[in-house]
Amino acid sequence: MRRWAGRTNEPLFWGLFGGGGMVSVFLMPVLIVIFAFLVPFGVFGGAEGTYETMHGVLTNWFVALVLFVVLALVLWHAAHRFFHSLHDLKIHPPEIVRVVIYGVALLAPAIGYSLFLVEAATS
Amino acid sequence: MAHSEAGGVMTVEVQRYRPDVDDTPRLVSYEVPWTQDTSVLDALNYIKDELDSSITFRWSCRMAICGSCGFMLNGEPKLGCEQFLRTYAPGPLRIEPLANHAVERDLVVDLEPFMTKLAAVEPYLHPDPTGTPEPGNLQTPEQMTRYGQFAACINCMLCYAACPQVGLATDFLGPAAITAAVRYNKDSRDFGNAQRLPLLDQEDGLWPCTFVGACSTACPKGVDPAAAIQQAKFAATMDWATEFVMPHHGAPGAKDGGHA
Repeated sequence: MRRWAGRTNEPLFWGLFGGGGMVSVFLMPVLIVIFAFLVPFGVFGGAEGTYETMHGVLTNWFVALVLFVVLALVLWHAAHRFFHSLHDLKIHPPEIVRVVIYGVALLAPAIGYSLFLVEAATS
Repeated sequence: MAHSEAGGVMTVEVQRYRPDVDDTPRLVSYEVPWTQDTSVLDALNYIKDELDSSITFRWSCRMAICGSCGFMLNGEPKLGCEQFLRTYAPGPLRIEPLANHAVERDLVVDLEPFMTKLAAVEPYLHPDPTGTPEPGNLQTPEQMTRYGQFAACINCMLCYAACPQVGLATDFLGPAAITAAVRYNKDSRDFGNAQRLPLLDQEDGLWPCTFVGACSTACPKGVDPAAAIQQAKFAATMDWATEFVMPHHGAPGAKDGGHA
């Protein structure tokens, strides 16, 4: 990795932010329409048994991992935007605030997935 | 109603500041006669010719191509030659120097910071180091379309006056300079990506931009600087990722079709 004056890791932070934005804009509305409206209202046939089917799919460790990664991107997007909004509001908090904001975005999905794995292993 | 809008006398408030005389800038009102085709620049020239010859402002072409007569008109960055008094009827119209810029005198702002930023991104063709192909630098219409709209910039600095980030981060490279860099980076005849990358991918380069989009709203030439900056962010991110995977990757700015 080459270094020059003022070079930051912002490309990484912005790249994840951009990825989260794309997921939020393109994927989330589709998922919400399908799983919050079309499936429950029986557009794809009877709604009976869909909870059990969905539960079975989502508790597969790999599907859950993909889901947590997607949600992590969305959370990262929110954290990044929140941090930069502080700058827009002329609030420049100490470095620890930045660590906490991005830390929540990083740790919340990781801890969430860990708890899921523990739950899956013990049930 | 339509008759009364066709002309009359409008109160035009101009911010005056003469550093040798005035302690602070102040608004001075002038009564300016106007008709359907009186531009804001015409109004300023009327004031200078008929009312107060000491008023100072930049202008040249009167046709929105030289980029000299950018002012804040009722708080919005506009070209004086392109706006008409009829738009602001019945008045008053307030004319102030471009926001986010140091004022030298009256409506004249300091161009030096912008010129330094513009020159820094090397906004000119860097020829192919292996030699120019025969029969010269030809381009297809498609190759020109990739950068065409970004080449329409006239360096009027309205985008700098509109951008809240320019106001917050003084050293921010800013919309027009980044757009100029992207314009050449996307040019098939240019090989300067590698030289421009360290200017763009740094704290004061393109990263202060939070995609407010005010630059693209303010632009009088239909350039979309916000889009240019987003494309530059993506290209810088791709270069960063490439170097992360291949630390000894030599020339991230080389033309491979994928770079902005």
